[in-house]
Amino acid sequence: MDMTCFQSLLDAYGADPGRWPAGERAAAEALLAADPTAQAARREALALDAALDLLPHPPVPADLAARIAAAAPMRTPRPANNNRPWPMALALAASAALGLWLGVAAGPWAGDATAGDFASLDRQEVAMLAFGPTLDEE
Amino acid sequence: MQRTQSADDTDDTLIRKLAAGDRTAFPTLLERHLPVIHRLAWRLLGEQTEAEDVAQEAFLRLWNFAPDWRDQGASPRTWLYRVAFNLCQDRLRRRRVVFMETVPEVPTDPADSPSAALQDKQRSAKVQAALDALPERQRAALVLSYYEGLSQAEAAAILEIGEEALESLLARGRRKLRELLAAEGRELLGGLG
Repeated sequence: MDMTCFQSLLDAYGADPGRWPAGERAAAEALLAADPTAQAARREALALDAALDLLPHPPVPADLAARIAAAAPMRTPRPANNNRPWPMALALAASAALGLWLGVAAGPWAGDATAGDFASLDRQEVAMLAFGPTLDEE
Repeated sequence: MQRTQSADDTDDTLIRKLAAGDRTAFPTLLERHLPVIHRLAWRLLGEQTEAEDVAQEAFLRLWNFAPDWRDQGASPRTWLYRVAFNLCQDRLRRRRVVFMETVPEVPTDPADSPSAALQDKQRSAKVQAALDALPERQRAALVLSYYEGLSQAEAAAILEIGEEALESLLARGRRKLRELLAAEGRELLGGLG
């Protein structure tokens, strides 16, 4: 390992060899042991590590876990198969089939009575027929 | 309903139990991962109440997602970290953070005596302010890698970047921190340099 690679390690991970990527640690430690320039660079990184270590560990409120555990059952977990592809695919296929049927029914080859029935539907009803009620997604 | 002893179970086993309706798995997951998720949120947001909200939301999403849990290449811990990180990012964007070129002044109470404890408190406040002044992804990389001690692979996975990009974020973050703290004087960086 050359000094440029060693400096890159220090720049990214700091002075503690335990934080260096395992694949590069042995070579970096060998350079550190032999090269005064590497030792000086590590001392600089140590100073920044020491400053970072001044931050205290934020305490977790004692009751936070209990509060979360109490809140969880308020949210009903989705049924296990709700996110699987088949129900969604079936819903899409049904929508496509219904859309096709509506298109045929309202097309130029449809009889007057069918066209009249279709025309009597308002936009909201057509949307309901095509897409069904809105899914209660999270 | 205490059906099984879950303390020795792996995270994946706990998720499967939760999906099967065994609610005793949830407190074990909380006990195991809440401290790190809360700590991550606290360090990224710098605010206690918001950190609690993020931690709660991340675990409630795990609760909701459990029935659909499949092996997706990320452990439950990595999944929680990623969700918490994304929630923090959303909050930070809403704050419209203005990144600073200098560390903001840390207010001090003139009635306080210049004790060693007070000096430590002031110095740590300056470090926190410098950390808060970093761009959010640099700060997140430092928090995950330095403070949480995650492996390069796990930190990169949480940030959804490659390991080289992670190294670049870390290097830029540490360089910026060094500049900010050096501007504060020798007491923060010079003593060990």
